[in-house]
Amino acid sequence: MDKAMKNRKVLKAIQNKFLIYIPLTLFALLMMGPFLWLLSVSLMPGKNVFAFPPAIFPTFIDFKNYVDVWRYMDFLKYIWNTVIITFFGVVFSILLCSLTAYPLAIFKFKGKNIIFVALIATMIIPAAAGLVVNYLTINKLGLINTFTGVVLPSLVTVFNVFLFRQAFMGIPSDIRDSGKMDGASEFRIWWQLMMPMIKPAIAVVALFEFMASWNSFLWPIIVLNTDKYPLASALSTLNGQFSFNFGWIAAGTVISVLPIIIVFLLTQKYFMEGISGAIKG
Amino acid sequence: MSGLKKLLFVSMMFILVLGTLAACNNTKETVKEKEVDPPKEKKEETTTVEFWTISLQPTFNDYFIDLIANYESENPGVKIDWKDFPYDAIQNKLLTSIASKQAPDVVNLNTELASQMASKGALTDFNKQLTEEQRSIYFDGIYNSTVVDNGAYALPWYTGIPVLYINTDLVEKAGLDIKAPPQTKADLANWGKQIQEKTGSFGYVFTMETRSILEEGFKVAEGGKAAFNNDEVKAYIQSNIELIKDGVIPKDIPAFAQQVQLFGSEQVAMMISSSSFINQLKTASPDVYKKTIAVPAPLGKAGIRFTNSMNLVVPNASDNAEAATAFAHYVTNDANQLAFSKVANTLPSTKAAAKDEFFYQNDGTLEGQAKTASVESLDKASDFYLGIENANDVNKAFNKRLQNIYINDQDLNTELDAAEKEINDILSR
Repeated sequence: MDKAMKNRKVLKAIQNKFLIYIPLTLFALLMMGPFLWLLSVSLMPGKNVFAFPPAIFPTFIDFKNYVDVWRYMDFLKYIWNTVIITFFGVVFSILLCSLTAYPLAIFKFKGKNIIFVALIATMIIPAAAGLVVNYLTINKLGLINTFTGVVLPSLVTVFNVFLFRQAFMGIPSDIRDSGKMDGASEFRIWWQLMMPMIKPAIAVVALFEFMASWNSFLWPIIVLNTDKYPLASALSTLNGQFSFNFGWIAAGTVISVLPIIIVFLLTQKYFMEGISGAIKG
Repeated sequence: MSGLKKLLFVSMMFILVLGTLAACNNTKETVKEKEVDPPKEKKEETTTVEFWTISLQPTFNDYFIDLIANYESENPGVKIDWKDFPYDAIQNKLLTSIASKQAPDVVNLNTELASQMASKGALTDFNKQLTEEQRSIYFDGIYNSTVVDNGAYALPWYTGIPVLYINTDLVEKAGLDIKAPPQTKADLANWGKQIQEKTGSFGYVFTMETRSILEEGFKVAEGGKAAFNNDEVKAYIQSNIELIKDGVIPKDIPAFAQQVQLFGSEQVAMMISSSSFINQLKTASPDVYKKTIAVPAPLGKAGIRFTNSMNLVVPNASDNAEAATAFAHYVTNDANQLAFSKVANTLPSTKAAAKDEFFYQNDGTLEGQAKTASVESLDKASDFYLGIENANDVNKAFNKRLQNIYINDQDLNTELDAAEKEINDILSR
């Protein structure tokens, strides 16, 4: 009797799991569909890309597209370009944004709110509107065709400042006071006491900036010459009249998104914390 | 703290590994830069001609490296600095570099972009720069494609004439004879109807552009006024609307990529396009490529076929217009165009080059068929061009109205009235 009850319970649990997992799996497939299609197209050279229904899962695996596109394009050069742009984009963005946010969150001074509201107000301006102004500025500074010219315009973004400000505001003022008691300078309090407390926010900004820099496409095309392109921009050379090959485009795209997936998996824990922290704050 | 440290450590390692991987690559680059640098310093003695192309690297690196080496040895004192950009980037790049006074000297543009730049007065006039003899090597129709107010602003380079691609499977299923392909647009419509009835697939792709009106012998503008708002044009557009209703022509396909997709998935049986289509079909849908043939494109009532040419232009802002013009003419001369056609499988725009037997040899592949099917009408062809100022704006405005009619089911009469008013406004500017 007891055993039967147990069995029934287990059965019911399995049944419930099924009911939850089947729709979840279907939904996940639906969301991942385009990416899976791209992946299977890249793995099946010689197969009709536009066949209907689209092949979500590859029926055979051949890395020919990857080998060919790797030979055709100088991937290492473009990856290196992307890494430089991304590294400086992420590091300086975190430093400058948190330095901007710190006084806005902690200090008490006249006009603090006005400055903050003015910053927030600029979020309304669409990014494309800044294109011409940014180009003229970068050109006057003599930074055309340099990585600095690519990274500079997007180093301090209001969204990141806002995120850091919320994170700093969540820290009890006792921490800063204790630092003051021990005679630490303001800068040292920021670096040694405050920054370690807002790790989740840093991780979120790092991830956002990483994705934004890694995927940057239009701005590098405008500022740089072809040999300095980052990956996303360089992939557009595969779309030429004489070089068009859908399998190559698919393979190149898969190669270029792999780092993002790896970084996301590494920072996933912080990412969730940081997002919920930012919303609560 | 340890978590963040770990993260930092991992990302630093990642960068370090990539750095070492790319290091050998980097050193190569610096060596190259050093090689290029010295001539730049001696600017008094050598002229550097900056040469921009669209999407030709690295496919044609060998051809251009040879070409440039030959030119530099024949013309000591001239250095060619070759740069290549994706199609999406070239216009932005060109406009911004002219604005910042760093204009390139020779630029590869298609006719639409070249005409647009020319009507804004940004390009050098080749009618003044070149002798009659130098200009006479090009086909007149193609050379005259960018003429605005007696000035010719682009030297024609490689070109292509659209041909008709037929999916033999679908056409045979419809009971049509592939040996007697459609000769006129009317034949094409009849074939399309039969294919639709017998197989359920679409008959052919129709691009719904301004050029379709010209191909039927109608005028878009005449004497500085819009000239298309009449019953004949309306009847022609109406006949296309009927074909869309019957499922002979697919709706919603202004973009080239979508047309390729329809043909590649065998949802449409015939398509008129240039030879660049073959490459896309071959790599995306190899099975459909195998059963596709190419024949000369059917003609509209006007009996004309339009080329899609690439040109070389010299911006007014160039510092070395003379050296630039000489190099542009060198790249587009008979011998070099013929050599390029052979490596790229395109058509040349010079008379002597087009006589080469290479263009009449059909090796049986789809590329060979398309080549021989298109070369015949080269001497009669011209680029799609309206022959008026602001042609690009007129073209865009008219395209938009035509798409409203065909795709968005807007009323034919109101849209044409609106188009007439809009184009008269543009022409009276």
